[in-house]
Amino acid sequence: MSAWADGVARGWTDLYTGGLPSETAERRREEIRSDLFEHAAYAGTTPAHQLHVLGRVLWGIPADLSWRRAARAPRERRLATGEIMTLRKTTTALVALGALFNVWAAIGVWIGAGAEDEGDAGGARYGIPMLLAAALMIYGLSCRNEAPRRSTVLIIIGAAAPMVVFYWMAPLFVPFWLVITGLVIASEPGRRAPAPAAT
Amino acid sequence: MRRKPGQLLDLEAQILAVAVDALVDGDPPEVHGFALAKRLADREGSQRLTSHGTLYKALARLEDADLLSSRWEDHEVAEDAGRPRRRLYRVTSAGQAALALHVTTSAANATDQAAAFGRGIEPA
Repeated sequence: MSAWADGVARGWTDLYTGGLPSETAERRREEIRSDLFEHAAYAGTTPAHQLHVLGRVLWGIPADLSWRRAARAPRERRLATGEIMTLRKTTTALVALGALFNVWAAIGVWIGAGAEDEGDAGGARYGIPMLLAAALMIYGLSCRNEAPRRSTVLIIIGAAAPMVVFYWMAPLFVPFWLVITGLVIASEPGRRAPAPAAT
Repeated sequence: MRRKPGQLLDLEAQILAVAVDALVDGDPPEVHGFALAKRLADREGSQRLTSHGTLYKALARLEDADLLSSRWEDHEVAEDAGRPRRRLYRVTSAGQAALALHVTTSAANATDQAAAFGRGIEPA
């Protein structure tokens, strides 16, 4: 008789242990493999037994998910205290610097253009997008933990403003934008950190 | 409802009781996951085994609290028996103390409840 429910149990275990530190995940998988083997050795692989195994899997799903959340916690704490935190601080500082530059450039180009010719609307045409970009970057930083993906997108868009608005100076801004983009993506909260080596 | 620190859930107390029985019986003094599930069901007179998730999460909690210790069975033993190696659990002295406290507290609570119930039905 096919042990289809054993396969379901193994598949589910592989799924909910995915992305956990390898030692933690492997221990749980081995324990479930052993349990399934012992259960089959005791009760066989009759359809009734397989339904029983399926029941044990299904009833345990909330506990499995809760256990997974707890097993991830040490990694989250590591994210908050380890190397990734340094990356986050660097990113925050650079993004804040970029936003400040946008504000400074917006004010400069606005006032500068107006000083040369009061009827020139060019200052606002350049200044407003730069201010909006700065606002996007600051808002992106403020919602970094609550909405990581939205924060990443907003910051990347905001950081792209100088090279779009001052397109004739794009080569000057592209490297900065690439660095910000890389850092913002790498330091996004919740991004998977490298699993520690098994001991 | 959040439970108090050191308070055992019923399932945890039952697991510790099974582990204590194994320790007292002595052969073997350690139990693996499926054997625990089976003995828990036997104690309840039930055919249904505790779900995988509930059982192994409870075991992890008890181990984190140092009420149980565990180790992997030797590879050679498992290979000779032709099965996956087992994770073997043993109750610690702290686990035995926690179980004793749980039993005492439960008995006291049961007495209090019985007394309260008795007072409640007394004629005025």
